[in-house]
Amino acid sequence: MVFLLIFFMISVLVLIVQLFLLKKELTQMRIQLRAYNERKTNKKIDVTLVNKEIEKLGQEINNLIDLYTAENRKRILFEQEHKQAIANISHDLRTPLTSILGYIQLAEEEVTSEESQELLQVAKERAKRLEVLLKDFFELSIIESMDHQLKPERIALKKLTIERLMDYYDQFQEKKLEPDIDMPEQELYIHADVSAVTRVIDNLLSNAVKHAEGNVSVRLEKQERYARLTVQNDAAALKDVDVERLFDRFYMADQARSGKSTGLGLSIVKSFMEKMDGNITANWKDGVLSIVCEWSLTND
Amino acid sequence: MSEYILRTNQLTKRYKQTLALDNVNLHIREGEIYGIIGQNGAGKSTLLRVITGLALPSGGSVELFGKSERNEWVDMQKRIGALIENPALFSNMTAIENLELHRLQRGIPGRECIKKALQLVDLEHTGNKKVKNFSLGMKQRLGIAIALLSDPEFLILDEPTNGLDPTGIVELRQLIKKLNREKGVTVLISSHILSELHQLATSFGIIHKGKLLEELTAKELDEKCRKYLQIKVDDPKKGAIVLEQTLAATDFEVLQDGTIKLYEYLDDVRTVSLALTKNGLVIEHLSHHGDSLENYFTKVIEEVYHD
Amino acid sequence: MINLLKAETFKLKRNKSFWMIAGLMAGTSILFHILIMTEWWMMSGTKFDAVGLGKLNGLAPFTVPVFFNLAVCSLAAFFISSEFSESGVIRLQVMSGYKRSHVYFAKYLVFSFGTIIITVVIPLLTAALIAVALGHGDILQAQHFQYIVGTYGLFTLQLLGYTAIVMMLAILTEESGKTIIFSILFTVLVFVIEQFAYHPSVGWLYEHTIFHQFSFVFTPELSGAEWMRSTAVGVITILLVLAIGMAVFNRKEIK
Repeated sequence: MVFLLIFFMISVLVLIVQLFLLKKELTQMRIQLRAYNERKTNKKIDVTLVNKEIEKLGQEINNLIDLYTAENRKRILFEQEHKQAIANISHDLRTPLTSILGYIQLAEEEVTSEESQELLQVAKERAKRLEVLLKDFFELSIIESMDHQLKPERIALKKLTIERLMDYYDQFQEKKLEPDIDMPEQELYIHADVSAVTRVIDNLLSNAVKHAEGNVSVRLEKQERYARLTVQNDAAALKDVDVERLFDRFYMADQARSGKSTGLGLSIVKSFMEKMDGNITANWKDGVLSIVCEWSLTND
Repeated sequence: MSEYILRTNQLTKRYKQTLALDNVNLHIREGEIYGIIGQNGAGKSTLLRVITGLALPSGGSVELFGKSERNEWVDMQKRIGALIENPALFSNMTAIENLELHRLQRGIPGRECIKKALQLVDLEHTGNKKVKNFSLGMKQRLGIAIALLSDPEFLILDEPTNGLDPTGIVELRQLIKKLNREKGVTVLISSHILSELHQLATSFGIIHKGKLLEELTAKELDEKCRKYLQIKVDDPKKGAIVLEQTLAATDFEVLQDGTIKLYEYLDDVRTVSLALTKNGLVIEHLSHHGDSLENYFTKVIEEVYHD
Repeated sequence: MINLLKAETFKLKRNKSFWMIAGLMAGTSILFHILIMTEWWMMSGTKFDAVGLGKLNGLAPFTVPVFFNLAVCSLAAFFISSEFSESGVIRLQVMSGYKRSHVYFAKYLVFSFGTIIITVVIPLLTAALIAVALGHGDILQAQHFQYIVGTYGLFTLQLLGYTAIVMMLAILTEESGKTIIFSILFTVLVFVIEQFAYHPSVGWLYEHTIFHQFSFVFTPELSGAEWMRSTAVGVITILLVLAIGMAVFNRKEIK
């Protein structure tokens, strides 16, 4: 009788321990899966090898991860190749284009007939436009390709913005624009790639110069942990639907596709902001377009 | 996920009087195949031993998957597969037993992974043969199989071609490329043989006497090692025409800033400069660029010596 | 932790030295028991005589450190030290993403398990078998049984302290040969100290080590205080040596 009782109690104890281990194991698996689903890790799950069924479950989960990885890799590789191809194409196009321009230049010197000169002039203009387009296109493809790596450093954003504004002073003057400038009192420091930030500010300013019909405002401010740069210009013709597409490649609101604009400027801005882990948004309200860029402030 | 799989910050390792690692700042990004090049005794193994937690740093820190605190960092080792120096094997066990032991240790569910790993390194037919009867190459391959068993995100291989025959080396290279491509495995591989890494790595770190002298991408390295004439003339467009028409050159590039890189006529600078000047161009700059791979590395190492 | 234990057990099961030592111990043990029980060999004055278990005198040699230490340190040498020297398999374990203290503790548990099999289970089991085989089954009665379980329980506790010490030596020396030599030297040193135990201060100290306890626990009818003291000595030794061993292993460079 005593032995039976002891046997019974031991059995209960063993079962309780097993239940406890099983529960702990399930928790462990859930935590690992969660980390995977939150994309914090690519690690397959591991288990405590105490229960055959748990082990098999773990194996099946890992098979699922394998499937996901394989599909995901295919997509990533495809995108990479695509971007690389674009980068290569724009690179390869440049050399022949340079010689085309050279040949046109040579022809201009040789040809005397006025009619031909005119034709050459058109050819030259088109080739020049192609050159600009290619330059922007090349830049964008480079930013988006894997090879491009930013070199972050500490940047005084207020100083940089003012510098860029000075450079654009002439262009504002030309269009008789008087930008409304609002800078914070203290300097704002961010951690980012200088050339990328410069390019972002330049593109935003040149975009504003190109499209403004009267008012332009540039505002830099501190918003909690962010440095926020807002560039506004009135753009009565813009509609809501356009705003959503502003950052698309080759999107141009006026659809004219003429002049020097390529429609890539804001795509470049967006790509850079994404690479720098910044935010970019565009709003159109009451005929005013605002483009807002945000960078995290450095801690010190 | 953090951008860097591995980053070391001023990592230093001192053995009594000698500095095995001297303020090393290594950066490995996700998806890279990072090759560490250095002569024997340059500090490659020490670096890998510190990264894998076999040796403790005397100074500086290691950040693995964005974690540098030691407890978290130990946990991150689970995401790594490594082969450091000679393969760590039980010689009185078979290949399968060695892998099973490692499987138990890591808690990898299912014995399927053992078969897969053996297939990857072409050892699936060793049966009951004990490891002590394996050839050096077979042991090496089994060591690699162990590193691959857990399907790691980050694979660390220390001189993995040791003891492999030429076919084995080619197979290993293909295997690493395949894992990198199809599974996105980040790889850190060390070698003292340049040409071996050159065909494989996407980034390089050059280490010498415990110092990481330079980090560069394969593209940058190729750029530095591809020989060309750098030409700058007052009118690049015309210059391009001259190259095409007068010299019948096809392999050249015009860069954004108007500099021309000519990959032909390397031994005939005279002809090039004559052709350019004859066509009324002013040559602002004309020089040879590029090095052979070996020369480049020797140069990097020597530069530091002379300082 | 459970995975580490499974891995260590897997290794122990495939460890040739372990089976060889176990075989040797079983052989010696059987021989002793047969000789003693058939009274070919007389042994007197043992603790077993005192409780009327003279038939089990064959167990006596297996409770003396100088004797069993050979088996224990050989096992330590070929189960633990060899992992450091023989192609450095310890590296794989350290790189597997476990805290080093866990690795150490798992090794300690399985190594102790092997030791208990060799020095406790085998002698006792063979004794019982031989006793039954030679028709002395009557000694396995409840009252003796209680004595054996009690004393061997305490003995095992002291043994766990001893394995902790030997394991630390194995980790420190990193090589099978050195492990054996140092363990033997250590045991001999303790043996020498024992000879000086008449000196009061040395004697007091010695009485509070597991080495004294190894034989002391076989004293018939231990008092409650003595029980407590034996348990305390064993537990404190285990905890202390394990803590030191883990600290050493934590800072260790793995070659």
